[in-house]
Amino acid sequence: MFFTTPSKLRAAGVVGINARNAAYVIPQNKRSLYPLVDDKSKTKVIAVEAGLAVPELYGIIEQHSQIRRLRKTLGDRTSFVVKPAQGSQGNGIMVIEDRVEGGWRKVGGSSISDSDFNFYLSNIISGMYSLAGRPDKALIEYRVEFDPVFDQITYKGVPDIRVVVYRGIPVMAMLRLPTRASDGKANLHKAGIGAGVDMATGITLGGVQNDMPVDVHPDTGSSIQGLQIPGWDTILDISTRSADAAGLGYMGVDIVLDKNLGPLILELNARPGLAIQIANSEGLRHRLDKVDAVAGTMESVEERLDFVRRTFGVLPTAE
Amino acid sequence: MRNIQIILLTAVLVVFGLSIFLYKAAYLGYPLWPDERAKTFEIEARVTIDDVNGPLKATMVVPQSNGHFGIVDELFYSSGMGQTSSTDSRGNRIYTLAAREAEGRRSFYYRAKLYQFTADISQDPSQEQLAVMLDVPSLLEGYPQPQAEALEALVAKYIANSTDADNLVRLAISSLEDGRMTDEERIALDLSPGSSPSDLDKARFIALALRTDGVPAYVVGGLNLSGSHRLAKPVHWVNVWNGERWVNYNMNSGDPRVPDTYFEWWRDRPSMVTVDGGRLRRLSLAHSEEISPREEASAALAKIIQDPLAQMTLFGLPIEVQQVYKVLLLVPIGALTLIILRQIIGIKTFGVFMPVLIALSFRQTQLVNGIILFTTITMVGLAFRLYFERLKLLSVPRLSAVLIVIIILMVMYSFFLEQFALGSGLSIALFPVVILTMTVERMSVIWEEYGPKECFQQGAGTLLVAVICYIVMQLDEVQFLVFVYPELLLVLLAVAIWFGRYTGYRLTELVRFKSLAEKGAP
Repeated sequence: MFFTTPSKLRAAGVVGINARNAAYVIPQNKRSLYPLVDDKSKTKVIAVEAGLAVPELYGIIEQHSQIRRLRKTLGDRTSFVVKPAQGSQGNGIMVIEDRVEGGWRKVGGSSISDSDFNFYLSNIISGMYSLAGRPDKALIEYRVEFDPVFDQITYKGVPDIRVVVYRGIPVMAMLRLPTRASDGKANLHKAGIGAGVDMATGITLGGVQNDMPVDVHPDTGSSIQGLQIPGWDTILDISTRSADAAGLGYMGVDIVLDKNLGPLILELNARPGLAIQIANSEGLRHRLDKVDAVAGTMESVEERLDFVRRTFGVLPTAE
Repeated sequence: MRNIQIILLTAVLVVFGLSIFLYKAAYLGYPLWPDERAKTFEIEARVTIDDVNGPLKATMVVPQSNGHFGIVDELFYSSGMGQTSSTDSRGNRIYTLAAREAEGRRSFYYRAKLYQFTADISQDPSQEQLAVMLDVPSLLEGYPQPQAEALEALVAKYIANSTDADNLVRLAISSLEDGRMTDEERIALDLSPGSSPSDLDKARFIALALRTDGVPAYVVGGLNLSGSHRLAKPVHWVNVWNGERWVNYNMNSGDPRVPDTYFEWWRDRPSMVTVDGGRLRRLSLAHSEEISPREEASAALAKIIQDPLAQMTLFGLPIEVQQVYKVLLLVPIGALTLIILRQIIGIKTFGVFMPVLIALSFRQTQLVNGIILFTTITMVGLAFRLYFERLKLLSVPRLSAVLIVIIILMVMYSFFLEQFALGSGLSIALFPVVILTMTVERMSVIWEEYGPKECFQQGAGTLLVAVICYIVMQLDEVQFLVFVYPELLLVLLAVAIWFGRYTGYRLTELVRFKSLAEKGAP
């Protein structure tokens, strides 16, 4: 059979889209806070204010006239990332690796001419990638030099870590890996791989691609399982703090590992996707219920993270 | 707390909406299916007066809505005579015609349209009416003294021999049959030997008996509306107020119940017309039966009983406005279908209401034609859109260019249809150009961001949802129900609110999360 029954899904604690929206997103996330996460320039501001590490912002392009001054904004930098400030699900992001004759080289080797690049910027400003086509801004920012720890299980692009934080407590995480099929993007809906992460230790569990379980990376052949994510404690710490800073009760924090700078917050998401459940082979509901039971009883971040390690670890501990 | 509010709110909406619906359907008799019919009747009274010389005064009783009949359109025509209307003590509505200088022949006529209802709209009698209905002397007026005495004696005998009012009436009806009448009865009723008492004679006698016994009653004159007659004879019966409700007695000994085709025109009068200053040459009554849409009868009923709901019917609006609402009221139906398809099943579509709008435009183009049109135009439009992408156009001019391409495509489509005589260009012009343009724009973004597969998936989803919405909205029964019972929108609103808190799985998620279910609970 290619489908299952609602009662089985309920027993497994799977949260569906309707339940996520009606039971978690809408009650927990105040509508007025959405712009903070929907506009990445604003996210950056609150993250910096809270003392959390983010990729450095080189400049913002808000008007067509600024496109011509792009080179000036960049100075002698030839490697950077362009993002629509209100883009969702990674749409419209371009990663530039180097300057080439008459244009730029994108990560992955293909080139884009200056005129094409300017057109791309003007599309961002016209709101092509924003919700409802609202006028938008293009963020030019630091291109993360990703930690080589994931080299063996990454095909181009930048792997990132998604942590779902519920009422100030991280509940589930996954490592997202770009593949050839995903064109170097770490998004699951573009055929990237999601690997579940043990919340206590930061060690990867099995992976999933296109909603199907995978144990080895299809492009590199290396195992996805049993990998220690470096700086796991920091990752839990900054996701908790960013959720506090944003004031959202149910959100996703996207974190990248920089070779030199360590974990950096890439973006926040007020409606994190549900594929993380498949990546972890576990429904969210049981963990969310446990958080509901203790919510508000723990003040300090350390106390909360202790709770996370005690409660959400799935791997047998060494002790 | 929030859930209690939602339960209360939806419960109030459903109860409110459904009670108006049930009231209209059950009491006012609004139809539940299209093409239900109600009986209507045309009634007419023509009066001709001869030998008029000098001042003329004539009165005529005109009917009122009562029992199961309601009067809607009335027409009264009197050639050049002054006309006033009044109500007499018995409750008759009377038109009085007067002319100071008149000669020769005069005529006037009254015409009305009647609806027959399932509901009884008779009102309980007022104190004054009850007093009139108990007045004995007025019934004895005009009789010579000996006859009046004979009547009284007869009445006393009947009352002594009966147990109650009902028994009294039945006894009188059967005793006043031909052949069984005693001489005493014949004398009292002033009948010549061999003749039999008319229904009017019987009715008057029975009313007299009832009144003497202290039971309010009156004699009714009216028409039997069964069938169509050019020259109808009036019928007479007795209406009795038994303290709780009206009881009617037919003067026919076979079945004392009054047939439901009997329509009351006047009460307690020997004739509906009086003439002073001329000779009544002819009074002709005519009636004919017709069939009309049932909702018309119900709207008429609501108006006659001055129901506040009568103001809320869409049938009172001008025809053009009604046409607009016929379409507009389908949108909530489409939206509800959309909720089910998106929230419960989980079909992906472009935009939220795009499919409903496309479904609405299918109403103009017909389904197959609409699907072909939608598919061709979005496909070709998409090809142009992707090509424009390569020309590096700015967004607003690019959108406009796509819009123009779409209009050109529509013109060509119409030419094509005309050329091959495949029917005219239909009402294609009404196909929402802007919606198509936005669809093409969304498709191209999804094409570039998610690839052709996702794009076609969502495109197919949009078309599928549009087709389903169209089919649902196109159901005669659905169109009819929302138009006749717009209060059902409250129920739709409740359902939409309820779905707003629906946290169950979508059908597509049963496939998507299958791998998780197999692991079971941790």
